[in-house]
Amino acid sequence: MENRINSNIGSSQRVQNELIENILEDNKSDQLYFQFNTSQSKAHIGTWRADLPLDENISLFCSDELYRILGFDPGKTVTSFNTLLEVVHPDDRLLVNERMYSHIKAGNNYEIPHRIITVDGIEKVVISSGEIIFDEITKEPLILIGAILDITDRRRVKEALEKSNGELQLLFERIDEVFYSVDMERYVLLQMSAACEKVYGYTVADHMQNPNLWLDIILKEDRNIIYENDVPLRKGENIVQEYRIRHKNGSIRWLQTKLTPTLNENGKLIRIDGVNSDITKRKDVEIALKESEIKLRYLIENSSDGIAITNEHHEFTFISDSMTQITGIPQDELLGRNIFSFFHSDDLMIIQSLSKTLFETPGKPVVFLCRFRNKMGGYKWFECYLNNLLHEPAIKGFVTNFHDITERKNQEDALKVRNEELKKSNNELDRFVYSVSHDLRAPLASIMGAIEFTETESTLVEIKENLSMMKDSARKLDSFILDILDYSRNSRMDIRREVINFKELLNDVRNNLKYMSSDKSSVEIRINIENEIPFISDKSRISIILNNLVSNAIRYHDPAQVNPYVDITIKTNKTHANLVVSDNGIGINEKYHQSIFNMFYRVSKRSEGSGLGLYIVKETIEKLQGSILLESEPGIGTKFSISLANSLEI
Amino acid sequence: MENTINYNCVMVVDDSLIDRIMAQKIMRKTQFSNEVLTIESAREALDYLKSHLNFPEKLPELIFLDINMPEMNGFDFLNEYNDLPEVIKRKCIIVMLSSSLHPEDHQRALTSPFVCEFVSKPLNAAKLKELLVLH
Repeated sequence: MENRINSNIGSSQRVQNELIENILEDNKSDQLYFQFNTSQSKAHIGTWRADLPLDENISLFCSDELYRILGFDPGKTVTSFNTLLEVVHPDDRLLVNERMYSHIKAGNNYEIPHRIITVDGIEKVVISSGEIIFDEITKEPLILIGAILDITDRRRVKEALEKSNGELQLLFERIDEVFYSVDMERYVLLQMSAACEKVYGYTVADHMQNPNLWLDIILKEDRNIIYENDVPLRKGENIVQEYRIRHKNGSIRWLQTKLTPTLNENGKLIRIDGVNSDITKRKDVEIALKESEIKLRYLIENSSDGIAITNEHHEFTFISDSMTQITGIPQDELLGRNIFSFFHSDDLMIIQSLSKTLFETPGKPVVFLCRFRNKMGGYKWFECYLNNLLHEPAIKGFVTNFHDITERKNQEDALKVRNEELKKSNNELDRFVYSVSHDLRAPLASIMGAIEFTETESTLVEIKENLSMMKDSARKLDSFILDILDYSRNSRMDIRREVINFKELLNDVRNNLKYMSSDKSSVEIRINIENEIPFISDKSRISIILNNLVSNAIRYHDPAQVNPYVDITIKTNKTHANLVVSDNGIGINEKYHQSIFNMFYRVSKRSEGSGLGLYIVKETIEKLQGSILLESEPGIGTKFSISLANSLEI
Repeated sequence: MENTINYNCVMVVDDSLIDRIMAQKIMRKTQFSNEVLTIESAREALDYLKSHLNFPEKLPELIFLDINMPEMNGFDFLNEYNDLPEVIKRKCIIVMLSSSLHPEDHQRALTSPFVCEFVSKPLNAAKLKELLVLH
């Protein structure tokens, strides 16, 4: 650059000399002078001329451009050689003076770069040059022609250029991508950026030394990518390829290469410019994403649930393979179709009623059961989880999971039907038992009525005795029928929960027992109820329990006792009711304690009942999930303690 | 009680002949009522009541009504009884008489505004005595 400027000055000075000669010959030529001035102005060169030997104080001939460079008004200021020296920057002045004089003295041309301070105080960078013209004959120095070239702007441009070059260099070195150029004719790496070491672990020098290094470190299984792309590359196509390399540190890195080939006029590849970047991170993310996508897809496709996405118009936009499997309808027959056209018309109301919730709570699935058409035109029952994901950019629709519950539903329906049938037959059986028992009891009641009436009519002792036996048998038969009724009622009837009014219930018990044989009515029934907290249980079952226990106590009272009694004490709390039925009757020998709750078990010939009573008591208590405890001693009495759960909390 | 007539007229509606006879005998013996009308079916009982609309002295003060009867049972009787003129309904008190132990029967009988008592069979002197308080 410096050289070019100098040579410019040289040539311009020659032109200048010639011009000056011309001016000397014909200085009236305005046109020529104008041209001279314009070219000086464009070139930022001002010139002057002094006769030799030099007189520093004599006014010089100066061009207009010189005045402009120095900041003078052209022609208005008298310019001497001293003036030229005075404008030199004070720091440069000494050196410039010295060199200038020494060159002039020696008769040499000179060129000195230095700074000046113009009249208006502006610092400029210039090159001052001088050329001595000698007398052709005497060889004496005649004239000194000087020029001042203003290079301030150029210098500024140069500085800016250097600065930006520096920045570019920095960028080039800092950038993570490797830039490189390869001469393909000679297979020589022309240049490579410093990032190379970061990407490969190998330096630029390593690559320069081994031009095959880049290929050597590519994983064997990925090299075919390079070979495959070699063909289009040689045809001049830009190539983008991804492959793995083994980094110098042993790790495997993913690289992306962008190659720009240059072909010569014969279509031969002569140069490749490339950018390689490390995409390991991106690739890792991509692979992880792909894997999770594959995993998800696998999950979706292998799920027994069908999964479908519908858009805001309820048209299918995605169908999982499993959906096709369970419906038998191919994907292309579903895609684009309205989901509602596949639901059973009876179920549409239910689904539509959910739409409000669905829109109000996006992201929260609504669950419903419905029938969905299958390939054969029939319907399958599905449990559907419908989720509004319109707001999800990846979905922009409704996601529905279809869980095939046809079999479950069929079983449920069958079970329901069977339950209904069972309930019906149970009810029928119940009704049947009652009707039969009524039909059995009605004539029995007639017999008893007749016996009782005859008893009162007759005065004959023997007849009275016979009638009494008949009455006992009839009564026994009746209580047997009642026991069977109680048994069937307990085993088949559902538990009915209600608040138990023990006082009323025990009154009923007492009334029921009133017509037991008269000689036994002397047994005192004591009732003791501490029922502060409402007790909830099954009234008819408790009635069965107490009826049996109290009637047993009366039946087996001790005739030897002066005050035969049966005591019924009832205590209730939040969780339980304790019913204690105790008497001072004949008692039960301990060896029978285990057996008396058995069906049809009767302790002795004295036993009057059917052998069902305590069995029914036990069964009934079990049904109510309660417990019964027996304490009895012959000659002292019997005590049954019953604990029943309070259904207050249920 | 033994020596005084308690009711002027009672009616026994029962399909069982023995029960009708026994009821009549016991009532006579206990002098429960001056007159005992025994009627075999609910239909005939209703017909009797309707035909004696204008002879209030012939209307029973108590009606013993069996539940389980063929053709028209006690509850059917109650349904139709509901439609009878006030004169009859005001005069007659109904006592359900049955050997049915169905708790539903018992409850249903007592929910009827015309039924005041549920008496289990067989009818005897003691039970009748309790009914005298209704008089």
